[in-house]
Amino acid sequence: MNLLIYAGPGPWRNEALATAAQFAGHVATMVILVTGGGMSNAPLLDDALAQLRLPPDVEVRRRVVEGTPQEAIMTVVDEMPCHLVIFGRFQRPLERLLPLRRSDALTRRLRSAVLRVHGPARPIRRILLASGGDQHTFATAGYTAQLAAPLGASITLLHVVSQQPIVFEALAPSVSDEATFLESQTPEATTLQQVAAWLRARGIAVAIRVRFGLVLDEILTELDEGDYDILAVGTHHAAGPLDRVLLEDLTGDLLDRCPRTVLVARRMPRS
Amino acid sequence: MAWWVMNDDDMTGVRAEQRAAVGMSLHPGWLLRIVCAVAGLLVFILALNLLKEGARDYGRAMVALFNVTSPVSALGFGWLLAYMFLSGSPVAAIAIAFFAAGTLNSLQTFTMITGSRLGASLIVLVVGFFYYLRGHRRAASIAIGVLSLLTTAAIYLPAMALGYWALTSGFVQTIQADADAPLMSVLDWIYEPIMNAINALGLPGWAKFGAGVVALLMAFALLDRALPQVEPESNAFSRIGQLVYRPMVMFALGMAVTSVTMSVSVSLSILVPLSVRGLVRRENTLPYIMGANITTFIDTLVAALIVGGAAAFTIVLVEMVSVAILSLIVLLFFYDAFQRSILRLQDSIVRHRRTLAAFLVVMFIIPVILLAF
Repeated sequence: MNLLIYAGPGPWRNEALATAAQFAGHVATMVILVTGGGMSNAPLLDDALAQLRLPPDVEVRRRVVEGTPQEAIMTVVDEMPCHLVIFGRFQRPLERLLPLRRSDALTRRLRSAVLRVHGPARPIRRILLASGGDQHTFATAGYTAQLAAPLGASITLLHVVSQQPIVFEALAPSVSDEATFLESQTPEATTLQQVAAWLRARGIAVAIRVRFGLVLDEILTELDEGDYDILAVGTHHAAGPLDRVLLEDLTGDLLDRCPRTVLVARRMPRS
Repeated sequence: MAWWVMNDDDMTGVRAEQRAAVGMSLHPGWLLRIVCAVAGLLVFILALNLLKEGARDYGRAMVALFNVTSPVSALGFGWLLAYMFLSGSPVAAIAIAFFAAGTLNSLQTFTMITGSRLGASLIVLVVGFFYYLRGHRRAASIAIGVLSLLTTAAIYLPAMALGYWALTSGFVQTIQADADAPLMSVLDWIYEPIMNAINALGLPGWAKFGAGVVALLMAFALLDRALPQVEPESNAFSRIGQLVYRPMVMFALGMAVTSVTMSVSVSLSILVPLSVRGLVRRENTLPYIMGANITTFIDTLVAALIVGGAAAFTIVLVEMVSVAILSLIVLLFFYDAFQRSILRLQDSIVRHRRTLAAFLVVMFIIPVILLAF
C-alpha cells in the first residue's frame, strides 16, 4: 500500500503523524512524505520520518512543493498515484466558517482514499464504518480492514435507516428495530451480513449496529456514544455532473461536522 | 456457446423495436389523458360557476349555520370542510366561490383557504390511522401523514400571519378591487347558455351548490386521470429511496410535480414508482412536501381567476407567496434545525398508539374550537 502523508506545517500535523505511525509500518510498502511552503519546510519531513518509525524495508520518498498544503498534495498525487492520503485538518475551528483551506474540498478532489485526522491522537481500537448497505461497503471495508487488522482494532458496521413508507401499503414491510432489520431479507441487511462475514474471515472483531433517523445525525450520535476512534465512510455515488448538483454530499457534511478522524474510502486502485 | 451473444448493433435494433412497440401502445393512453385533462378543466369551470350560483343563494345560510363570522372561524370552517371532502382543493375552490358571491370577505377567504390546506394534510394521516387500527399496519406507515401535517402547520401558520399582515396593512392594494369582476369573458360564451338552462330549471341554491361540489370532485378525478406516468428508469430521481438529494432539489421537485398534480397527497404517491420498495428517505420527504405545499395552490389560483376576479386572485397569490417566502427562509437559514424538530416531533407522535390517538383527537378538536371565535 502506498501512503502519502502530508508532513508540512498545519494545526493537526502532530496528530496526523501520530495516527499514521500506528499503522504505517504494518501496511505501507512506500511512504511519500510531502510538504508545501517550499524548501524552508524540508526539515519537517525528516522530523516526520523520525516520528513514523518505519521499518527499513519501507521505501520512503520526500517531496517539497511550493504553495499551499492542498496544492502540494494534489501535485504529488498527480506524479505518484497512491492508495491512501493522510493529512490533518487544515483549518482551526473558526477557520471552518471560511470557504478557504477546506480539507473536505481536498478530499473531494482526490481520487485516492483519504484519512483526514482531526482531534487528539488516540490509539486506534474501535472503528465505526458507516454503510449505505450497498456494494460500495465492500470497498470501504477493504480499506478499514487494512488499518484494523494489524492493530487488532474492532469494526462496527453502522447502517442508518432513514426510509419511511410513502403509502400505507409499503411494498416491503418497514422495520423499526435493529433485530428485525437484520433478520429481514432486504439487500441492505444482506450486504451488512456479508461484509461482516468478510471482515470476520480476516480475523477482525465485527459488530453490526442499525439506527433509525437522519443519516448524518445518527452517524454522529453513534460515533459519540460508542466512543469510536475513527469514522470510515465511502464517498457518495455521484456518477456525473448532474448527480453532483442533485445529490447531497453526505461525506463532505461528515467531514465538516465530525470531531474525530475520518477515513474516506474509494475503490481500491489496481496496482 | 455463442448462440446467445448479441452485439451492440443487435441490441440497438431490439431496443428501437421495443421503443416503437411501447410508443404505439402509448398513443391511446396519451389521447385519453388529453381528453381527461380537457374534460376535467371544462367540468372544473362549470363546477365553479355552480358553486358561485349556489353560494349566492345558499352560502349565507351555510356560513350562518357554521357561525363563520371572523377570519379565525373561517380558518376552522375550511379545516373542517377539508375533512368532509377528504381534500383541500374543493374547499379552497368553495372559499373562492363564497368570496365571489360576497358571502365571505377577503380575510375570511384567505384563512378559509389556509384551513383547507391544514385539513387536507390530515387526510393522509386519517386514512393511514384507520389502516393502523385494523391491526396489520405499522405506526411507521402513517408517519408520512404526520410529517405532512406537521410540515404544513409549521409553515402555513406563520405564513398565514405574514399574509394577514400583507392583506390588512395596505401592502397589497389589489385587495380593494371589486370581487364581482371575474375574468370570465372568454369562457362566457360556453358557460352562459349552460348556466341559463340550469337557472331556468328553478333549482334551489343548495341544489346548485351540491351539484357544484359533485362536479368539482368529478373534475379533480378527471384531472387525476390526466397525470402522466412516472418512468423511474428515465429520470434523475430514480434513487429517491436510496440516496439523499439536496433539500433545494427536493423542494423544486415537490413544486414541479404538484404544479401538475395540484395535490400534495397525489404528489407523494407519485414518489412510489421512483422508490425501490415504496420507501423514501426522511431527508428527501420534508423539502418535497414544503415545495408541494406552494404549488398546490395553482388550481385555487385558476379558480380565483375564473370566478373571483383580481381580488380573489390576489388573495390566493398572497397565500402562495407567503408560504413560499416562509419556506425559502427555512430552507436557506434554519433547515437543519427545522428538519430535526419536525422529525423528532413526528417520531414522538407515532411511537405510541396513545400519543397518535391523542394527536388525532387534538387535530379534530382544534378546528371545532376555532369555529367558536
